[in-house]
Amino acid sequence: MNILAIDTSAAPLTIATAVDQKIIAQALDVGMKSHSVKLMPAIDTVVKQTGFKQSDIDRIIVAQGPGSFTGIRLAVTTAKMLAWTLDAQLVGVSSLAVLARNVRDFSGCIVPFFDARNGNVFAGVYQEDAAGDLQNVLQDSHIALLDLLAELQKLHQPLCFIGQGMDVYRNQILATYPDAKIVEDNIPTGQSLVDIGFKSPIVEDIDQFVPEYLRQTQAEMLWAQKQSTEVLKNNNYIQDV
Amino acid sequence: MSDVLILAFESSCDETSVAVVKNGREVLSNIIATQIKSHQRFGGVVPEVASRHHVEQIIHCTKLALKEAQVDYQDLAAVAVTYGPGLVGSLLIGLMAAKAISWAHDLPLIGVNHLAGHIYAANLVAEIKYPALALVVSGGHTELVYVKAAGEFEILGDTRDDAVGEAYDKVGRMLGISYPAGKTIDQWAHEGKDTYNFPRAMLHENNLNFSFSGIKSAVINTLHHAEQVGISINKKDVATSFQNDILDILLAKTQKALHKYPVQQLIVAGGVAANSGLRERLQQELANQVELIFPPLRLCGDNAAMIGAYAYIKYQKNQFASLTLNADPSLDFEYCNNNESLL
Repeated sequence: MNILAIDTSAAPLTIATAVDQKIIAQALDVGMKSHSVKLMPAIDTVVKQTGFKQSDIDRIIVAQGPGSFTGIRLAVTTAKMLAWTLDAQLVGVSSLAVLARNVRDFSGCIVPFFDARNGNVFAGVYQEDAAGDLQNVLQDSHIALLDLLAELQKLHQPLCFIGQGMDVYRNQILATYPDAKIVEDNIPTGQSLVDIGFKSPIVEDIDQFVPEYLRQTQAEMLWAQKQSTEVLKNNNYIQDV
Repeated sequence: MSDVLILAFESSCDETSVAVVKNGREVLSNIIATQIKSHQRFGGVVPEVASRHHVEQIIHCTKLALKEAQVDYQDLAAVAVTYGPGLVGSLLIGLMAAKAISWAHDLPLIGVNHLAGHIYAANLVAEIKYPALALVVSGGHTELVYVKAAGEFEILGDTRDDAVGEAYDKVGRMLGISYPAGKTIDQWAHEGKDTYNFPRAMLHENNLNFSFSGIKSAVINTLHHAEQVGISINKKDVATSFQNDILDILLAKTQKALHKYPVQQLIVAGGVAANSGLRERLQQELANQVELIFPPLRLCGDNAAMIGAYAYIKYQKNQFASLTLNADPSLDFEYCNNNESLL
């Protein structure tokens, strides 16, 4: 199976091609230019390096979030459009699971996170099973770092943290878990993306595929607070005119 | 020469639209999914909400546009997309979608200025004769644009503060009309009397610029004052007075522009071009000196057909974009630099 994998959920950009789980070509970019400029040219370069024609792509794997709202929208829009127009399979994977997969040979709990500002993070907890596959222990969520650190206590496992925004949170993490392992290499690799996406379910309805924001917009939250449950049931907001 | 079919994307604000346009003149399909009902919850467009809706709608609209036009990718000559001006998060969705289709099927990509699109909606109902003058009036823009030749634009004047559609929405909110307020104010304006005589800003200034924040404040002050002293207000009279004020300004500046830049055609473009009061006044006062082109209502608001119409001009000039094309939220035309001296 010919795979194209895409992740722009945080500052790094990762594009990879693979045949089954074997990586053929990849582009990792941590430069400053925006993903909106780099994404499609990077896909073009990597796919051509691989020797694939566009129509050779059988499956597109995309990091679906959580992460930067704009970042995950760019990747998801590109991936769903490509999958639909090329008639390829689409697979959405957790951006946090991909980051966790960067950590190998660690038997405890892996805690991938992205800084969500104001002391909050997008985080989940993952652990390798006997077969070496990654299992989800605590669902991805938008959570205060302090609450996350408290939750982790209940797991009674050695901990490994990997994330974007480590500089902000390192001291807080080490204050609570002095023995925790901190992984600095936080660029999602093509191998991590493909390993997870190869075994994940295929999206049934590409049309309805959207990012996992894990956070409502501020405007919708404030609005919802003032509405009756009856009003909230209606979510028919878009009309073809 | 064979027909040039362009698949066009527009997502600059709160409408997701995909169209197929033939030779820049004929609309084969023009699918528009509007988010108005969603943003009505907040009294105006919330950018993050708009971006999210675009991702939900983009394939649905593309699918329908191709189906309705009965075309397949091999029939297409190019893919076009609005890359500015607009809300950056919204623009990016159309941009990514267009790039994906362009790359997947080896079709050239064309980046279109949204304002050029509004003006070229005219080409879908008539044939633009150059030089032409365009009055672009919408929720985000109020501009007099000189269209020297195909694809050559110069701004003769624009608004110093609010766009005209923005003034309508703000005054509408004060009158208790839900967003967007243009249609209701237009209707009320036909039923009331001009009793308030609000100030006509910049009417006699020797330039082609507009200002609408003063009149907006005047309306708000009038309503506040009435409330404080307990006089009842006839909202329809306020609407009539407000609309007359706006139309006087638009007409006077357009007259002035036509005088300095003689043209055969005046193109009225943008969402506010749907205003019936504006259409009536232009018809009464200018129809004898210039050919008026009003795109039909469906082509006045944001839509992808107009993007396909302008893309054809760029296609003919071989003005293609690369896959690095980025959104430019404040994209605009060049300003005419000898404007002031001509007046």
